[in-house]
Amino acid sequence: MTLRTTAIIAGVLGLLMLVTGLIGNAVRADREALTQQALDTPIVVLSPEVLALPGLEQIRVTGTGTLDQVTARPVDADEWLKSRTATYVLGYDGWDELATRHQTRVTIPSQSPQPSASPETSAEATTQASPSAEPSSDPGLATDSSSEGIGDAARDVWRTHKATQSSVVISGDALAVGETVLVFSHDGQSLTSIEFLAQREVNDEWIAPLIGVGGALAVVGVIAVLSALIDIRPLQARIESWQQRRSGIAAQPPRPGSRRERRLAGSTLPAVDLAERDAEDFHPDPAQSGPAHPDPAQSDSSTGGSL
Amino acid sequence: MKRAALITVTLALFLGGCAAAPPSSVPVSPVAHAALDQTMAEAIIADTFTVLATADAGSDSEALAPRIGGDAALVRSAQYAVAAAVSDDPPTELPAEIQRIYVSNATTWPRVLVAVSEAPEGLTPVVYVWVQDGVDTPYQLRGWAHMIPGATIPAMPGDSDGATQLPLGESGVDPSPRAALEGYLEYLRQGPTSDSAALYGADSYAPELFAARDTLTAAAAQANGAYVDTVQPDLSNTFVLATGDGGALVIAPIQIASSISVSGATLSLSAHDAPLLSGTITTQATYTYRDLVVMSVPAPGLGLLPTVVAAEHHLVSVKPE
Repeated sequence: MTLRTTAIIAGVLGLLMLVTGLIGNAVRADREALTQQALDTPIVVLSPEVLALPGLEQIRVTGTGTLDQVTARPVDADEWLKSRTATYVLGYDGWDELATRHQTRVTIPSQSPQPSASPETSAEATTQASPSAEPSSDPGLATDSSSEGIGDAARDVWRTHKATQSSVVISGDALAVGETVLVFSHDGQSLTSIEFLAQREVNDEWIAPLIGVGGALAVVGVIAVLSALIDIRPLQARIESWQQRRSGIAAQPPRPGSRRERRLAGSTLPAVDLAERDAEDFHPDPAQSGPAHPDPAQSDSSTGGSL
Repeated sequence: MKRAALITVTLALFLGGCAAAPPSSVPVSPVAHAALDQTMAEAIIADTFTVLATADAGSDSEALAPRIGGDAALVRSAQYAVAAAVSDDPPTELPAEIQRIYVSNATTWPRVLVAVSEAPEGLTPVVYVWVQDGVDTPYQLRGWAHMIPGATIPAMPGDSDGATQLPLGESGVDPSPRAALEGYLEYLRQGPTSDSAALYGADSYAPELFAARDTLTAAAAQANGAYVDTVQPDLSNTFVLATGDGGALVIAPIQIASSISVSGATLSLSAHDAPLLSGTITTQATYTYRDLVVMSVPAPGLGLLPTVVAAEHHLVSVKPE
C-alpha cells in the first residue's frame, strides 16, 4: 500500500467523521428545554418534589384574569384540594410533555333552607335584580361578593400569596423547600397552560473534535486524490531541466576574473611542495616552527613565483 | 458507499439527539412543621386587632365576625352592651402588643394559636387563643384571659417546629389534661375545702370565685334563698399544647351558671348587670359566665402541681330562671 493510498483511505474516513459531526451539530438538542402543557382546570398543583427537579429554572402558568400563586404545607394543600378540581403536575414525561394527574371533584351545591321558590318569590327576585341607577345600599357586601376568590377562605393556611394578571412565573430558587405551590384562577376559570423551562445536559462534547479531526483527514485525502488526478510530469520536467541547467554551467569556460576561475586555478588553496618543506623547515615544536596554519601573505609570496 | 452514508447519518442523528433523560422527581422532606410561621401568625393577630378596633369604635358586635367568634364574640358583645349603658365600664382593654406566640404543628383541624401580650399598665399580660376549625375557615379569636399574678407559662417549642396538639386523654403527662381539668372543675364546684384543692398550685382565680360565692350565698340566705354555681367544661373547645419540657398547656373554656333565688323579696340587678338581662326577674336569676382557664400541667418527674396560669371570669348574660 502506497502512501497515497493510505492518505486516500484516511481522507474517506475523515470525510465520514466530518459529515457525522456536521449532522450531529445540526440536530443537536438545545440546552434549554421548554416543555409546555395545556391545562383545563382552575388549579394546578406543584408538589415539593416537582419544584426540586434538577435543572428546573422557571415555571410559567398562564390563564385569564387574576391568577393567585400560593404556597402551603403539603398536608394543608392536600386538605384544601380534597374538594376541588385540579391538575397535579408529577414531573416530566419526556422533554416534550409533562406528566400530570387530574383530580375532579363534583361539589353538590348546598340546599337552600327555603323549600322551593314560589312564582311570587321568583317575580320579586326578578324585580330586585333588574338594573337600577341607584348605587347599592351595601357597597361593602357587593365588593366582597364580587372579589371573593376560590382561595380567599383558606388565606390563613397560605404561607405566601401573590396575585398577578394572566400569568404566574415561578423561579425555583425563590421558593421554600418542602412547600407545595398552587396556582389558581381567582374567579375559578380554567387555566390555559403551564411551561417548564429547564437546563438539560446535552452529550455534544464529541462533535467539535470529530469535525476537527475529520476535516484534517479529509484535507489529507483530498490532497492525495488530487495528486493522483493531476499530471505533474511537466512540472517535474521543468525541475529536472533546471537542475540540468544548473549542472551544465560547469561545461562552459569560466569568465575571466571570476571566483570560479580562481577556484579552478586553485588560488584559494596554497600549493605547497611538501617534500621540499619537510626537508628544509621541519620543526616538531610549534613554538619554533611558527604558526601551524600557513600565513596567507607568506603563501602568496612563496607561491607567487610558481605561477 | 450507500451503506456507509446511511450508517453515518443514523449515527449522527442518534448522537446529535443524545440529550440526558428528563430528571425524575425525588422525595423532599418537608421543612416547615408548624402550621403557621411567624409572619402568618403576626398577620392573623394584626388582622384580629384591626377588626377589634373597628368593632370597638362602633360598639358593633356584628363587625367582630369572622375574625372574632365563639366565646370571645359573646364576651365582647356583652361588654359593648354594658359600656353602652354604663359610662364607667368600658370594654376590657386588650393590648395588641404581643410578646410571645405559640403555634401548633397539627396536620388536622381544629388548630390552635396562642399569644401572650405585653402587660398593660397595672395589669398582667393577656393570653389570647385563636382556633381554626377547618382549612377553609380563618383563625378566630375564641377567648382571652389575664395571667395570674406571678404565674409563668412554661417554655414552648419555637415557631418553626410548633407545639404538638395533644389529646385530652394524653398519657404522657400525669395527670392527663382531661383529669387535670376535671379535677380543677371539681375543686371549683366544691370550694376551698375540697380534697382536690391540694392537687393544684395556688392561683387567684379560684379564691375570687369562692369569695363571690360566699358573698352571694350569704345574701341569698338572708332572703331565705339560695345560691348555686354550676361549673361545666367545654371539652369540644378545649385544646392541649405540648410544652417544651414534656408537660402540657391546657386551654379550657368553662361555662359557669350562677343561680340566685330569694323568697319574699325581689331581686334587683346592678347597673352593670342590667344591660345583659333578657326578660324580667323577680325572685330568681341566673348569671351565665364564659370563662377561660389556661392550666399548666407539668412534665412527669418535676414534682410540680398543675397550676392555672391565666383565667378570666366573663359575664355574658343574665336570665330570669
